[in-house]
Amino acid sequence: MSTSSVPNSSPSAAERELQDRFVRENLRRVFALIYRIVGNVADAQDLTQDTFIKALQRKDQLKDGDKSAQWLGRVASNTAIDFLRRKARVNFTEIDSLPEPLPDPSERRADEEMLRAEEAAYLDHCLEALSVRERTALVLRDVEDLPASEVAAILGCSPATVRSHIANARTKFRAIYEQRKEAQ
Amino acid sequence: MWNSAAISVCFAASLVAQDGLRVNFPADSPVSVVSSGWGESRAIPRGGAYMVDVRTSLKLKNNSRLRLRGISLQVSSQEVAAGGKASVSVPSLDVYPGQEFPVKIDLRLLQPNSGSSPSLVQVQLDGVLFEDMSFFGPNRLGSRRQLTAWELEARRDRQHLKLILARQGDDALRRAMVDILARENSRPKLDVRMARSAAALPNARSIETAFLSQPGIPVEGVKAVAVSAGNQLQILELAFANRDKREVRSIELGLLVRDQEGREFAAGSLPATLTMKPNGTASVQPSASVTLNRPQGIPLKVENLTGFVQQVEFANGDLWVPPGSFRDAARLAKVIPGSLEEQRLADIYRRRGVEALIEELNRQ
Amino acid sequence: MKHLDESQIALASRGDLSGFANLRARLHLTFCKTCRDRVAEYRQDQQRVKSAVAAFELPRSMKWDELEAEMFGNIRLGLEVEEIHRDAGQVSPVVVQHEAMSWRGLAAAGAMTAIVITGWFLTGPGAQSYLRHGPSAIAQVRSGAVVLRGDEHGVGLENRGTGLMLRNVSAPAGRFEVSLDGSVRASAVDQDSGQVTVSQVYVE
Repeated sequence: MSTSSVPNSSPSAAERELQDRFVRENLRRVFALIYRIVGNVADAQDLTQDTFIKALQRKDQLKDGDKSAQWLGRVASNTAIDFLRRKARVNFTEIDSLPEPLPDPSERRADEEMLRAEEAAYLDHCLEALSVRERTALVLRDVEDLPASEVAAILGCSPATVRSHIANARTKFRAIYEQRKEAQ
Repeated sequence: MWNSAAISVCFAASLVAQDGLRVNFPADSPVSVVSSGWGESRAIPRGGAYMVDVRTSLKLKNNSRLRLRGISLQVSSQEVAAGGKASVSVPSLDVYPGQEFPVKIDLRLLQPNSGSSPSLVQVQLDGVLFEDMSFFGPNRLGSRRQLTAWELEARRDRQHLKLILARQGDDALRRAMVDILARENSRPKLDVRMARSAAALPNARSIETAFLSQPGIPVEGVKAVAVSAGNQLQILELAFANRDKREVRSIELGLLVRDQEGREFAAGSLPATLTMKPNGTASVQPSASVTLNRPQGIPLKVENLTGFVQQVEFANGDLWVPPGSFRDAARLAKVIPGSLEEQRLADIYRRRGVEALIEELNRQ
Repeated sequence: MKHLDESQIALASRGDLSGFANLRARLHLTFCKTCRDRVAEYRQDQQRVKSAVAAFELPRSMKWDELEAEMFGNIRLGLEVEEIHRDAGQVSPVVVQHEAMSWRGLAAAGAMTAIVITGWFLTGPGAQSYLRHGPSAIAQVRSGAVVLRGDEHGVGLENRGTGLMLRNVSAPAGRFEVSLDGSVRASAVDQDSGQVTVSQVYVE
């Protein structure tokens, strides 16, 4: 019987520790961002993994904490949008519906927890009412804090167009949110 | 913790164990083990785990007086992957009494690095099928039904190709094999992920269901209720009627799904244990949801589900498989995979040509 | 005085109006309380959007802890793959095709605090094309902590950090199927013996 070992040039233990910490600190945020863009858990999971694998190979970008978090958001957005583009064969604006349904809001918990859950579910509803373009522009601008020019570059449209998407997204979100308040 | 160099030294030493592979056949087994061993193996440390690759070829011998048609072996490793089982089967054999034959196993184990030696790999006989359709073995994995079904399909498909050869000659056989290979290469593939759960799909809607028309079938599908939500499918109920005089023990249903563009895909199979007296009915409520994607992750929105009965097991041990003509419709041949025997014969044709195929067909 | 229209207010809330429009809006807001109040509402919406994105809810059948652990494990796995390619002096494919990697990650076992990688198909004949292009399709069955998986290279079974994989006995891609009672099967023809070998994994 013969055995052999595969040579292994792993990074140092300290480097691995840094990588692991970077992932732990940013995983949920990146997943949430991508999930809002692609709209389903399976793709969001895979794209999140891709994002970190790409990002962790750019050690130069990871040195400055805040900057690296923002840079990571850009990598995540680009990864998600590239995916949507491939899926839609160029024009990702063709994808309008989300296959992932919202959780059933009929599951109720008591008192404050119930109110919090209801509010969260309604905010979700407001976001889901936007088109993919609008939601993506809104998340990149208002959650990831990317400048409008950068959002335009990621989405592959002109600054004027992206401002239009952002305006539409914000006004629609507001209108739907106000509908609920009026109904209460 | 991540000191891989130290780990690789540690485990390279421990893999020298001579008893890493145990092959357990019953004492009265008509098939015996001539030789077995680790064969080629290597240990690959990866962080906090290590992987063990084992390539082994068992040499077995048919000690019975009958030709051996198929064998199933259960493969396991203590404390590895509990909650599941694995098997290696070789159907479409033709092993004469006293003849030896190989069964190859290419195995990889993944174990956490807990400092102990690699897990023992055990290979146990689950069953052997002989030319007279008799079976020997503990049958823990249902290999009797499987080996029998594969053998019936093999005989059916060999007979079909022999008829083509006899009636229309070599060229017709050649064309038939080219068709089989072309269909295999172009068969649309599907990414099927199943979760065993009884939870209802949220926002699901009913979809159209149907059963393929299969004349002379012993068990007929009479009802199918299914729902879909985007690319998720859930079969809520299936009901069948026994049109045969024999009591039915189980069936296996093949599943086809159609998307919005009318494209059809094979989406797996659904075995069901159903006790049905002659003219009786029975139903099942599968507790599983299936997520379907085209390759490259494109969701497949399910519009329609079609079922077809691909196996019926009777209480007296008889087994029924569809006749060869079942896949004659071009649409079905493109979507439903052929039998394992068809796969084997097509490979013979592909690698060695029509003469070798004819020799193989005439051998049995 | 003509108020700002809704789009202008929405953009003004975060300074997204351009050039002259921005100047005009800022001047108007200096004097118009109505529009200032509307802008404030839009600014509150920014917080609502942030909290909505952060507080996403997974479908009921999934738990964040498990998903997080799985992603962490797969990311670590993907990085390990890069190391293998560097070891072999090969150009890295950069990103493991996401089609393939949905194995469950694992929590610590025994004294370990790191997540154990479940990395199959990493090395061996099928690995490179697998890593570069991904399999053309997969079959997967998940039942509790047990995951079965199959593709044209073979089938595998994994449970909490341990796994067993049966690879096809020959290089040409085989065929695989899933059975909804909880099993995955792959078949391939052995080029040496001409036998068709079927590897199968089942949930118990």
